[in-house]
Amino acid sequence: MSSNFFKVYSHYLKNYYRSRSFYIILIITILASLITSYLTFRYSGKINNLIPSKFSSLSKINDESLILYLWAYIMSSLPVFSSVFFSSPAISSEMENRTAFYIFTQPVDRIVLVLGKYFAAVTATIISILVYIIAELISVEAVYGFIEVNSFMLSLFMLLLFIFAISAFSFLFSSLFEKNMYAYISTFVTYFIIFYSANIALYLLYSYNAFFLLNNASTIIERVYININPTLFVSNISLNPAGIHDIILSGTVFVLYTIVSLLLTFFIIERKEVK
Amino acid sequence: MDITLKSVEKYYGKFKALGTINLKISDPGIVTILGPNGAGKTTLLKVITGLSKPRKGHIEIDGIDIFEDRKKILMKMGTLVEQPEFYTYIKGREILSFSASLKGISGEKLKAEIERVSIATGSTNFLDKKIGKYSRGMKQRLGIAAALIGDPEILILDEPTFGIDPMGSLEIRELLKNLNSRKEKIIIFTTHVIEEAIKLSDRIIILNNGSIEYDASNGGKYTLLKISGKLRDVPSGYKYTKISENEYIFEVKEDEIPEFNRKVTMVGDIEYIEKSSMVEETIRKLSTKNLKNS
Repeated sequence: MSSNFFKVYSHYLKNYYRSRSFYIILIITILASLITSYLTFRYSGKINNLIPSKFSSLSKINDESLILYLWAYIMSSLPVFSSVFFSSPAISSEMENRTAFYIFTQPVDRIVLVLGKYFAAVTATIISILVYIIAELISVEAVYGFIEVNSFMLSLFMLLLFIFAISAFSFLFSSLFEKNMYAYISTFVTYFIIFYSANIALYLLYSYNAFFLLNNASTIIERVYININPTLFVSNISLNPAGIHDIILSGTVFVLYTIVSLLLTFFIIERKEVK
Repeated sequence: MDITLKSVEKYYGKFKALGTINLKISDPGIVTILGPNGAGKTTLLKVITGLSKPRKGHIEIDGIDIFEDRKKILMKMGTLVEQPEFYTYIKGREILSFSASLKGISGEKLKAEIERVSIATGSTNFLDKKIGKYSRGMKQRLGIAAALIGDPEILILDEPTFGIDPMGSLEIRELLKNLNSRKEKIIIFTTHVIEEAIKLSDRIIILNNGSIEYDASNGGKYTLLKISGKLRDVPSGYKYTKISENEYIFEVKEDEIPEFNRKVTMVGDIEYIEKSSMVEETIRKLSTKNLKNS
């Protein structure tokens, strides 16, 4: 099984990194890196002056934490777009582009096919985001001379878990449809409209923080620097990093999304007919 | 090596794509499935290859249910179902290498195998191009080459000459003939071209509206006899197809023909009995009838 996994993985990875989608995502990441680098260099030491007076409490925070928070805030959105490019059409495209007739008649378990393709999509996402991480390291090091290694590594670890979760979630949607467009739209609408509206509604109506929603959990990537959740209208802003409880909770949410989504995808794909 | 379909029924929603199909293919050779569009030819192949699951019935290859151990069965099979597509950014050689590696072929043997199948299918010249640049015919040749990888015991080809130029079609037919020369494989292929079926096949199955209307050996150890006349009873022990109210085709072993003639004249008012020289005409007649029905 493991040797077939690597064959499938490398086969799909080749198709991903040679694709136009990969280069589009790479260009988007480079643009985001350039803009955030510009912000870092241009406004270092002046960040507090840019904060509106109503958020005066923020002015007490150190420059670097705020800059790292901003880098991480943008970084937490990148996997969502990458997964829409790489993972949302992962299975639906096999049906729509009729490659399923070839791949599903190969002597390999369908679960291995899904796993191989899933890890290839995750790898392609990581590679595309790597540019942004390198730009962040260079910019922050250049401006501040050092980086908060522990928080930085923790943020990256959470990002990694988030990439696994959002990719698995996108795979699940992809397994439900036979048209790429439906898979793209469903992933986007669920993440950016349903999750965000549910998150806000639950908080405003019931003061309930819906920690189990993927978009809410993803904020841990930036909250390891400053504990501000940008998906909620929280009035009591904490300038401290998120506590260990929050980190474990978000990590658990990522792991659960990954496992449950993949198990459901396996279940669907085993029964999938190629029409 | 045998393929057995037991009471297989396949529906797409309410549409009955395959009626109750009972079929056994155990002799090596070429089995051609003929039929008009929508007859169920491709559905039958999808069911045999495990791409589609029937609502009822079982498909067994060498006694193993395809849905019980799909991987093991696909290891013995080479398939080309529908007009296949491949990943745009992958090269033809990489597709063949991938298929070969999944069949456990590696190293020098893998290179030799790619060489063998690409020469056989005339795809050597374009193997190092990305598939996004392939024409329909190139993709079809690559699909056949991928199906041939590993010299499978069972070869399933859905309209293999589709999209290929006339010269290429001839080459594919020659290839099928060569593959069949040692009678070591079961080769099932679908086609609309009657001449192709007659020239290549050891057995011809005609499907119409999801049912088998005709299933007979094409020459070989059986002789096909066309009976015209009214049969009060059908002689038992012979495979037959009723092609019209007073026309039947029986499969009879050469040495049993005199006995068959005696039996059939006892149970019917026979106008005439013709030998297998009528096969082509009969298939044409059936196909025309089927096309009109569809």
